[in-house]
Amino acid sequence: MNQTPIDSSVCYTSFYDFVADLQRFGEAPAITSYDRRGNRSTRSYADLHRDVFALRRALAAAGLAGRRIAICGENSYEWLLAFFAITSAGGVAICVDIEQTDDIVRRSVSFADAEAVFVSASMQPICQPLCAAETGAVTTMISLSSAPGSGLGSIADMLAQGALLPEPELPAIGAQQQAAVIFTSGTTALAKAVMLTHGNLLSNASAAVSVINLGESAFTGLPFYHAYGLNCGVICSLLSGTSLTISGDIRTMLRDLSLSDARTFYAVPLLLEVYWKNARSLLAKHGRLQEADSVIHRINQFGRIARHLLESRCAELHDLCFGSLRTVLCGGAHMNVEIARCLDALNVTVLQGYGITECSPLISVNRPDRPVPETVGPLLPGFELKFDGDEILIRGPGVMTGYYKDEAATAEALQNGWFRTGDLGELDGNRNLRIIGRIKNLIVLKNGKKISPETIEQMICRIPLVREAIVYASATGIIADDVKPAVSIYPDPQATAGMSQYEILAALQTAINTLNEKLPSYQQIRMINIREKEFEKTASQKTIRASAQADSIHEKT
Amino acid sequence: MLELISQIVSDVTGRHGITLDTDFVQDLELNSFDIINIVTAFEDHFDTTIPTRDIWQLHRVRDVLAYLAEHGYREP
Repeated sequence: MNQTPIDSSVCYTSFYDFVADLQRFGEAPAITSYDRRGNRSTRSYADLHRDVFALRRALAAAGLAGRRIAICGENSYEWLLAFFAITSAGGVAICVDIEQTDDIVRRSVSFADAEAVFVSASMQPICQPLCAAETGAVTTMISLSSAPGSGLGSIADMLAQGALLPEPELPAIGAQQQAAVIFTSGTTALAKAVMLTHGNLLSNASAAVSVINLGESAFTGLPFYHAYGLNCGVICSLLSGTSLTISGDIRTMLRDLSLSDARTFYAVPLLLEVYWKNARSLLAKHGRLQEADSVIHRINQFGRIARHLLESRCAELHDLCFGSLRTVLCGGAHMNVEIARCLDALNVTVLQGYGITECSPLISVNRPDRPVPETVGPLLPGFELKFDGDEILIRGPGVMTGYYKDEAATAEALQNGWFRTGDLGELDGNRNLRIIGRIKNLIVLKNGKKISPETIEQMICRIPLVREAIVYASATGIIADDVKPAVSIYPDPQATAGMSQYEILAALQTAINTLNEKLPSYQQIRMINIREKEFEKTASQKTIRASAQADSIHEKT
Repeated sequence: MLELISQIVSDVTGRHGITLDTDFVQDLELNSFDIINIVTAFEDHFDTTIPTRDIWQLHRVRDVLAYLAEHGYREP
């Protein structure tokens, strides 16, 4: 399926061109954030342009232009300065997932061959060992924090220094040049390092803003080290001249959303759920929950006529709950369609999209004029789609060049320019894509995080009492991604000889608890099932994964 | 201290009857925002800030007690 080409008028070749052109928005607000006490700090497009170029000059003076540099920290204005300065100086920004364990954070930096690291205060002790001469190639560590006392050179120092430096002469940057490494949220051992070029990221952002109008203000609390948070959240907003409020603290995220009074909100299904729950609490507090439920019910039952008749009450309820919010962009996992319908009835349009890091990431998204919540909308301009069986294959300017230092995985995923998503889908009569399943054994959680079962299974199989283990997604709710990681274990008959089922379960629970302590929170096993017989296997002795899940369903019923 | 934790969990989530072995996600089925709300109540009570990375290591009630003891938090 071919789609329309991207509008070239808003498509930049490189992040240098992108940053250079930010000044066209002048003193308009670009990035706003709030501290823990709720104090607001806003930087204009002119500030952002000036700061990125100052940091770029300072990087060049330090011999770091064109180098591979990791960014290891929570969302912040300084994180974005680092990203744009590294990329606009021709370097590669290694975007490190800080939700991983300390060891995986360090291994991510080393694996990606970073020579320097921008580090937040909380990540400094974790990254410090990377500077030891015997452990790696990191020669420079720069604090993202402007607070004194880190003992490192800080980004604030570099901005002050860069303000006085002349513009360096650096090589021109082509669209095919690598700009970033983003780790797929997935495997426990080490996530795949996706290489994205300037052209990948910028063409994808341009295609997205050509079909979605973000309005004058937007809010994101999604992490910048994932492609969704970085490209859809930040770069799309800056391409549009939108005033973007960012949050890097889960404690204050929803408060900041409310303070920002944004028109567009970037969400994952979990965030959408929590947001709707809070809105219901607010309605209940004002004694209007029953009324809102009745309005929602009538609009969803009778459609346009009811919406017209109830227009003023909808507007009133909307203002009470949502302020200026008009659009929620939701991706990362399957969305709860019922919540989308409730919000839509109260004049907030929820647009579900579909993306994957390897495609920079957005592949398809619902359009504001004709959203179909059960689908992830039509393909983005510039992409082509075809099916192999039901598997979705994607080709286009957003598709990655490959996985860093993993030729085998690259060859498996990319065939003649087509990227195999591992997701199963179908198109409806209006060319909306519907995701119907997965080939890859990924467990997708409703916060968008993904877990590769095989790597956790390998760790569980090292427990002496375990003969075989299958990790699967155990359903906890009504929607597809409302799941928790669970394991079905066939105990080793010899190692457990003489033990009761209760004793085996207690011993396994203790061992799994110990293992959980080594895993990031979202990957921890939340349920254990014991099997009395081996898993079914294929002729080549490969375990049939579906048999473990079928058993778990059987146990529930 | 267990009574304090029990009270905070009850106030924030409406769940009762926690024990030392209660797991916030596995037993109470809390999501990350629920856990943050509990932690924020702790922070308010002790007038402190618990680093976010530390929060995700507190899975069970006994982990919270150990953390509080290790960091010298006592009933004010």
